[in-house]
Amino acid sequence: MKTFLIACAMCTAAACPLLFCACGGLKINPDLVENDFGGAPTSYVYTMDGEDFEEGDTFYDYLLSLRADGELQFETTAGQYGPYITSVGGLEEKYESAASGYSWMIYTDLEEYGGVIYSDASYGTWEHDGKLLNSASYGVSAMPLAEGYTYALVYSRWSY
Amino acid sequence: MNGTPRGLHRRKVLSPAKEIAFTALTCAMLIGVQYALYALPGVECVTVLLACTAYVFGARFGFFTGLCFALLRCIVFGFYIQVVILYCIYFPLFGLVFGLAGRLKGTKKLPLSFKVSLNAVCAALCVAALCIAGTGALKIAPVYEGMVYTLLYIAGVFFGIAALTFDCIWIFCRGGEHADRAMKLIFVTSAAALCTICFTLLDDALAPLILGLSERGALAYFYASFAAMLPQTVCTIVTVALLFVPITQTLDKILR
Repeated sequence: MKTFLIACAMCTAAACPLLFCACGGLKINPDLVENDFGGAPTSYVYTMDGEDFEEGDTFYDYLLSLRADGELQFETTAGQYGPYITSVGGLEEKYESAASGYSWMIYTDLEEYGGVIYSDASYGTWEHDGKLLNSASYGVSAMPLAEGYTYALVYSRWSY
Repeated sequence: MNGTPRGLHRRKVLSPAKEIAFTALTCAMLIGVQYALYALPGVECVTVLLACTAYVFGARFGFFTGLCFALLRCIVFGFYIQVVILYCIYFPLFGLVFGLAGRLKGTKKLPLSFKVSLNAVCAALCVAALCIAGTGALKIAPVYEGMVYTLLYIAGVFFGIAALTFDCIWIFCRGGEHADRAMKLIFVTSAAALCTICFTLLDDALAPLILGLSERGALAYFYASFAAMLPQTVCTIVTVALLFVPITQTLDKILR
């Protein structure tokens, strides 16, 4: 009985952090860049035309074709879930601290495609030319291209 | 009535001073191992190390080591509220579970309730994994489909084989010391795999609350999490199956 009570007390203690969730209201919203980074562009926006890509291509394939044509310079590292963009046009991601920094993030208006959810407004949004784009739920190599949809690489500030 | 469930044994306990010292030492080792192997996804050394130490040193040790690790690792890896909450819930409970499982150490055979539970859990996980893989029910990006479904088949087959092997040993090899060790290893490995699955599911439940995701956003998070959960689960199975016995034997010598 004593052991059971100790186990119950330990489980209760471990569950206490849940209270933080209940009263937290914490929301991670990237504060987008408004600073001048030496004139370097902080966003690249592409709206897909059927001639720009082939069936099954991803946003990463499209960026590679732009790089091959000399229209865009970017660098990646091999992440656990595919390539991870570290710099675009010479502007590199950077950490201010362990809990804040700047990264290249993908925004798109492609919300659902083939039954898969690729973005959602609750992940964060970015407005461009009156169009509201959502932060993507997948990385650059998992984002499929679809005609008429807009994809953006945005240098974004993130913080916890 | 001594507070110990029937069929389970009380272990040799550490003195309070030694327990505190071992907790600190284990915490340092866990953080060091996580830091050193940070770039190698899939090597689940934190899981196996905490499981082994809790198994040998007890439930209280496991709980407090898990809690200390969850808090102190933030000094190295940063205070991300989502991660802190997730770790503060998961690792103490993980340590507690393996600490309680450690009471099997002194027993000659597993209690019947453990045998039935293992069969039920393994059968349920086997059926779930194979059904999801067979029906292609996950709404994930095509680029991850191959990897996720392959790992689902592997996990499903593992849980099926684990249950079958366990039952064969239970029925045909009664009483042998090696048979008993094998059954305990299957039990511990399955428990570690189940805990790893629970870790991701717990994250799926907590993250939408903390990040304020919509229902749709939470669903996307849930599906995408399979790409992380399955490699971790398969690696946990391999790591625990290979390292659990040698590490616990070494720790037993330290305890003596």
